[in-house]
Amino acid sequence: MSVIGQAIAEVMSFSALFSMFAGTLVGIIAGAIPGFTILMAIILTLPFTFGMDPVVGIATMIGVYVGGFSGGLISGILLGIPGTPSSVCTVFDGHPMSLNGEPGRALSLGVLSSFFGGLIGALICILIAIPIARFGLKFGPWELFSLMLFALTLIASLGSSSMLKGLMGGMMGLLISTIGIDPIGGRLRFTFGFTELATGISFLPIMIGLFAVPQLLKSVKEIQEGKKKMLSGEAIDDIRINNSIHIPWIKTLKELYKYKLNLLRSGAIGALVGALPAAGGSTAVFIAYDQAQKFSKDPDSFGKGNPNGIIAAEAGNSGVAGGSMIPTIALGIPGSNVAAVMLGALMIHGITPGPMLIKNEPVLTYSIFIALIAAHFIMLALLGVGMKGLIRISNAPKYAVVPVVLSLCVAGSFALNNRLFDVWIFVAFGLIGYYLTSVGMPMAPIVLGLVLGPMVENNLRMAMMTNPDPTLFFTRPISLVFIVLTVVSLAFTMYQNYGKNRKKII
Amino acid sequence: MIKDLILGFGMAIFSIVSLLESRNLVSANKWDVFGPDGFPKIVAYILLALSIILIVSSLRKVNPAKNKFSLTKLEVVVLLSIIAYVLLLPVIGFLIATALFILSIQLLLTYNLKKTMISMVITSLVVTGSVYIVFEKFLNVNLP
Repeated sequence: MSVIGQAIAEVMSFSALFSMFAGTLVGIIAGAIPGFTILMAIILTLPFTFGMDPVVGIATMIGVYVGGFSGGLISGILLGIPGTPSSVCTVFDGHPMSLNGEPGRALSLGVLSSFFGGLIGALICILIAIPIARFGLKFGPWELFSLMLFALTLIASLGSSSMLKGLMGGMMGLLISTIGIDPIGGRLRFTFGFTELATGISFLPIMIGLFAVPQLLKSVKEIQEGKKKMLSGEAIDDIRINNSIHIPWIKTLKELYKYKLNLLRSGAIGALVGALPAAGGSTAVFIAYDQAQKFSKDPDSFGKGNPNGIIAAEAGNSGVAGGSMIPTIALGIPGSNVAAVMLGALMIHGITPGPMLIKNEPVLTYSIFIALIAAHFIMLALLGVGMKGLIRISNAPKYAVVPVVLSLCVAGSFALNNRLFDVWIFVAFGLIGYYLTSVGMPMAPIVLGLVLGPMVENNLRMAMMTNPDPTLFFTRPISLVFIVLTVVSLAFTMYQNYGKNRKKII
Repeated sequence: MIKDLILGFGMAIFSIVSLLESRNLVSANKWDVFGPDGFPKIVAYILLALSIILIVSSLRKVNPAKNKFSLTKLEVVVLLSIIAYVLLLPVIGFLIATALFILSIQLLLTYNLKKTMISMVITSLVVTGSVYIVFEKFLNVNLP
């Protein structure tokens, strides 16, 4: 119990709270600006957290995470443009409601649903994570290896449209992670004479490059298209938002109570889907929205401004935050892209995630739980008070956002080790990422391979060193289960792709 | 599809290079069944196999989709500017380089030059300034 007390003290300390406020605000703003994804926000926040205590750093990132999911609703409802991929469903009913003259109601529905949905996610996380971790403590290197293998194939197969390319990406990530000093033997690998590579390529500039550059260049393309339209005389959707929006908080609270079943169900769906390593915010939201429509007495009104649509969408996407932390904390397997980045952040701070995390770092673990809860309150406060300002921000012009973010990327990459080499890594992987994205290779498996690589290798080698018998991977029951799951997920995806469209197996 | 073909070959080359390079690594010994070269080799082999599958399947594809990898001029310019920016960092320092960079990209991308000129300049200066302050003062990072 004293551990919880200590965790509360650490999270509630002034510096931690201040950081969390800043983080949540950053997350909300990032979410509100279309084209700036939550993933990018977290990746860019990482460098800022280096100097911080691990607890404060992670708490801040959780703030960004939570804020990000909610920020997307602003531009989604008012402009019809989702601020983040996970706010797509919010647009379906939020935007029509806004156009019908009730933007304030839509906004408040969204914010409050995010709040409650997210709390449900956090609650589920707290309840389930620890028992799962206890189970995970029984894992030896064989089980951990098979588990990570399963996670990699899951993300590669289900999380992307092309299984083959996803797997290739994962392998690429694994290979790149081997650059540097071999952890067991102590010998240099793949350094090609670059002394800077002796400690391995830091994954942060790689991640920033792989995710940010393609996304930003996409924005550039969109700007170009907008320019073309302008020149040819077509109207652009340059909507200026009327700042005098009234937000009926109390009325909405009552409305939410009326639809509490939807709220609870959507939040839970968000959490549970988010807990699956392959699925993230966008997947969870669609499932939650779909379920809400199926359970509704008036399914045809969905898409035209049904409040339940907004509730389902926002509760669903906020539940993901807590849910995705479950496998991340309990097993060291990230529940989403963003969680993968947080895993990386932990490693940078010198903490090894995995089932041992709760045992080795109980304060940190409980702090994560508390931060999850606190962040939602902060988010509610910020959105409630700052709505007017945030509405202005979501109008931020793309031509300004692109260069600003790029310079942040540069600064962030540099800040890691204070060397220009890392910035060049960012540039290199930015180009690589842009190329790969345009040929249809998903970035997530690459990053996962990069982050999990060292652990995968270590477990494999430790297993073999402890007992050179390779059949142990199959005879140990838990390990066998994961291997079977790996094969099943690969087979299932192949069947889906092959069955659906004979030409498109790749 | 040509795109996939190129990707397949690219990945194949990547994996072959890795395999060749890993010959330089020490091999396994009695205690360490895998050795520093084991894991990279396995992964590289898998990648090679996957690339071959990709190459083969893209050759077998019936539809010769002409999905070319097209880069618009604007994107190329942006990418080149990023490279130029990073090259200039150690030369003229973070403050000047960043301010120039932000300003120039905005100039490239903006819709309406006259209307937005002032705000663009302000943005460049403000952002550069704040990033600099945050990193230097709060995080003790010495930007170039």
